[in-house]
Amino acid sequence: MHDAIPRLQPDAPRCTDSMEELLNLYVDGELSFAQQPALFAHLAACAPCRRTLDSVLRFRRISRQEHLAVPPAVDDEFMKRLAERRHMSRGADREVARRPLWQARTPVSLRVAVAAAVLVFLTGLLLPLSQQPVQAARLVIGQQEQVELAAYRDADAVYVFYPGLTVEAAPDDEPALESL
Amino acid sequence: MFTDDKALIEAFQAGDEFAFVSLYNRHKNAVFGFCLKMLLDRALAQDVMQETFLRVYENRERLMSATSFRSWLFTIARNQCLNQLRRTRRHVVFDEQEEDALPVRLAEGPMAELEKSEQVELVTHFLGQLKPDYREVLILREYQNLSYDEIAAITRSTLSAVKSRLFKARRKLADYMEPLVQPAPQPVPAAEKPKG
Repeated sequence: MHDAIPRLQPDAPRCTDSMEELLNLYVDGELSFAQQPALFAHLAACAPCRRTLDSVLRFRRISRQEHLAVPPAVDDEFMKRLAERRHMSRGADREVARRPLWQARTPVSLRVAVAAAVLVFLTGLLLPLSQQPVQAARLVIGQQEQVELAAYRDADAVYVFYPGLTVEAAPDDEPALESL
Repeated sequence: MFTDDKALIEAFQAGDEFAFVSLYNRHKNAVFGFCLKMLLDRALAQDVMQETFLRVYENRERLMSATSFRSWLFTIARNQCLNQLRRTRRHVVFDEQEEDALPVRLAEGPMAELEKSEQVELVTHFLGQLKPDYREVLILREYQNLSYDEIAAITRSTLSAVKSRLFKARRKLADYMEPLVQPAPQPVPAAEKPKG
């Protein structure tokens, strides 16, 4: 009976991998009719392989007779969770809708993102070529200038311009000019 | 009335909430069964099953092809289960101590003499001995009856990798079950072919 066939030890030599593959393909209904005689001839002579086949088929039979059904209470719980999740997602949608335009985020596809990146890159390359060099405005800060008032003695008036400050003096207002 | 997944998914993507409930009712037991056998914990499996469908609801626009819904569903469920296993570290690695944990009552006689519920308990115990890598392919094949291609899509593996893992898982399973299985006296006749 059962003891007549020696138990296969885990480290015992096994049949060839190709035969094991045939056996598995047969179990899964994937073995062609042309390959079946070779497998059956092997099974007729190999007790461990017969036992493996028997174990696999028995496992399948037991696993498929077990009916696994979701209890009704779990359905109710799921519907509650779904309603909560839907409520949360609607709240999030409203929050997104209230955001100002500059904080708006829109998902875009990878192609659009790559095209935008390439466009920015090319614009960055071409833009400096299309513009004339800009002359920077001269800024004079803290510089002192000395004006020779003697050279302007015959003038009707002397105008001194500083940014934000204009001083006007008549030639006879010498004390005022000297104090400048 | 919707007759297939494709119509339900299209309606769901168009905003029909009843279509989603129909999808849930249609697939909940399969997803629950997968989660239960992966996690071996009923409460966790119920929670992960619910979370899987909530993610389907939230990510409906990401489902590009309605035909691959079942694969997509099991992919989400699988990822949730693996995350849960990582969190709880519940996956059991086979060793001698675990083998000893088998209830004596179940380990005593041949499997054929056990009650149906005891056989189920025993098989579930053996399933728990497998690594999650092996367990998932075995569950998807044996409990869910998915094809090699579908399992490859769900586990993000190649076809050959799926076959290799499935064959190794069966070999392990046969080793566990072998002492309790009556020897097969006769080889399988050539005309008979098991239904996949």
